Amino acid sequence: MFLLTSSETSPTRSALVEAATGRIWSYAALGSAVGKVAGFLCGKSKSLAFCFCGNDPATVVQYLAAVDADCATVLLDATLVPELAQKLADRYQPDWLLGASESLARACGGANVEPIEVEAGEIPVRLHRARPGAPEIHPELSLLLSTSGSTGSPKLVRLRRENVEQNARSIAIGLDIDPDERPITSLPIHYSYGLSVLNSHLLRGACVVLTDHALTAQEFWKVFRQYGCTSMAGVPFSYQILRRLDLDKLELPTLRTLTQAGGRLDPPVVAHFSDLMRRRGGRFFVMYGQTEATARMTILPSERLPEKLGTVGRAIPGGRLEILGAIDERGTGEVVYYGPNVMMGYAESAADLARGDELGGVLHTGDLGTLDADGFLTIVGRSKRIAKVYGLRINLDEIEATLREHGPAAVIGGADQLIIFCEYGDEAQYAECRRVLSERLRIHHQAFVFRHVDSLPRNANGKIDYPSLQKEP
Amino acid sequence: MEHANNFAGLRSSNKMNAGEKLKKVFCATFEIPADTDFESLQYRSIVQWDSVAHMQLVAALETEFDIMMETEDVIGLSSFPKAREILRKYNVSFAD
Repeated sequence: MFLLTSSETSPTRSALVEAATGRIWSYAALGSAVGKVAGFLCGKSKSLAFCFCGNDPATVVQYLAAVDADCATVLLDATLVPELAQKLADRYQPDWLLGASESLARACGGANVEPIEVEAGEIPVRLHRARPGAPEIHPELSLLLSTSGSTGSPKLVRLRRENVEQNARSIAIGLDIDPDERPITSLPIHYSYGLSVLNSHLLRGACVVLTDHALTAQEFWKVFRQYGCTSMAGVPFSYQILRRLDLDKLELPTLRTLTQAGGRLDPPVVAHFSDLMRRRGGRFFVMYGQTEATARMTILPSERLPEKLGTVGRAIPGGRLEILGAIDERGTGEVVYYGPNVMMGYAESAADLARGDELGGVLHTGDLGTLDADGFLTIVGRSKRIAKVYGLRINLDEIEATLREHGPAAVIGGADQLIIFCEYGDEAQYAECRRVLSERLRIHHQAFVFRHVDSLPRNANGKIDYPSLQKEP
Repeated sequence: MEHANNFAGLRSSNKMNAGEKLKKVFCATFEIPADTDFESLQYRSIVQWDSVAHMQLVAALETEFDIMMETEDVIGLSSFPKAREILRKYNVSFAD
């Protein structure tokens, strides 16, 4: 059973805690629920399932069951704006809608969408069968993840079951996850990093504590204490919050593992948390990855800090790194990753669901970096025009294209910020732009910083000179 | 009087009382209208109250009222009424 070997080897161990109710499901109970739901989803031909996710037991069962039933499963945010969900459904034509409310199911599947009642160990699973006639789906296609979080961008990463299983295994080894770890779901399950926490801990027979609360809510920390959680994952912004909250003040005697990915965390902050966890007898892991590599490509072993501060670690077990086309004497070049967790490719249309493996286990990350003599990777920058804001991936060129309707504009990424240089506009216009972008990208409006310039700096060939914009104070 | 229900201005005036200042901060942080039902406004009742907005709210309150919030208050800040209660702890008086 996909990821659930513990349902046979350690059936009585706790698998899931639903913090909202205090209910617990053992691995045997989870396996049984997944089996029941998978039975409904199995069919003669391969089908496409949209799985709307929250951090709850129904989501876990629906996701595992869909993959187990050999559906091509798209993980989506359950709070995705219905119009965006509908657009995705129109584009990809799902056969199944999992975890959707009646109205969302109708929006995606049409008025004739059929609800299916499933009794799955007191877990309120929601299944809707949509219109048949899904496009051809490649037999190896197992999981599809969005590259852009909640923005509903139609571009999806195509993963094989092997990608997910291998990455879960490599992460479990790299982080030395034991069955007594109790991670709290500090990140959404539909997000590759949040999903990897779920996958790697289920694989090791650990107990996952499910909550939808944010780090900034009292309830989150009550849950952490009440269920004796041992581990938490965070993006750079999460660590900004933790810094402010002060882990010592939160009184978390059971916390022993912190992990960080989803963007670059400043070395002084890495050092701060590394020291803090060491004092507590715990561990802090910095990691690097992309959805295109399922989740993780490198892990910085906790004991190699502060020695390797500034790096993101070594390739995970089963993976390998190379730097391509060194452009300076430090050996900076594009980071290329080889491993069994590399995606098959992207999907942007229904026809793409039929495509097979286009990358052969080789991922050109689009990031620039160097490798030291020990194989530790330092990320120097991005060769693609991508920024990470609050852990979300933003395509800068796409934003620029939107803004250029009003006049010449250039966008660069700052620390959890998007800095927009415009040759046009005034405060009122910027406020309106900010509002529109904020709504569309689901990013807090204060992440958008507008600067008026008389003229954008350009190269000899007329292209915008981004490096000089980066240097602007 | 002249301030009525207009919180669009970014700078607060000495003539604003604490209640009006608090509403202004909430409006600016969450981009909600001045005639919002503040008493029922809480974390999770509006989609834009996520962890990012929450930290912005904390920073904005600290600036507006010139205070430094303790950890338990940062995470206890779960609604508009709760915000008022917390500010009272920091000696902000609300003429009721």
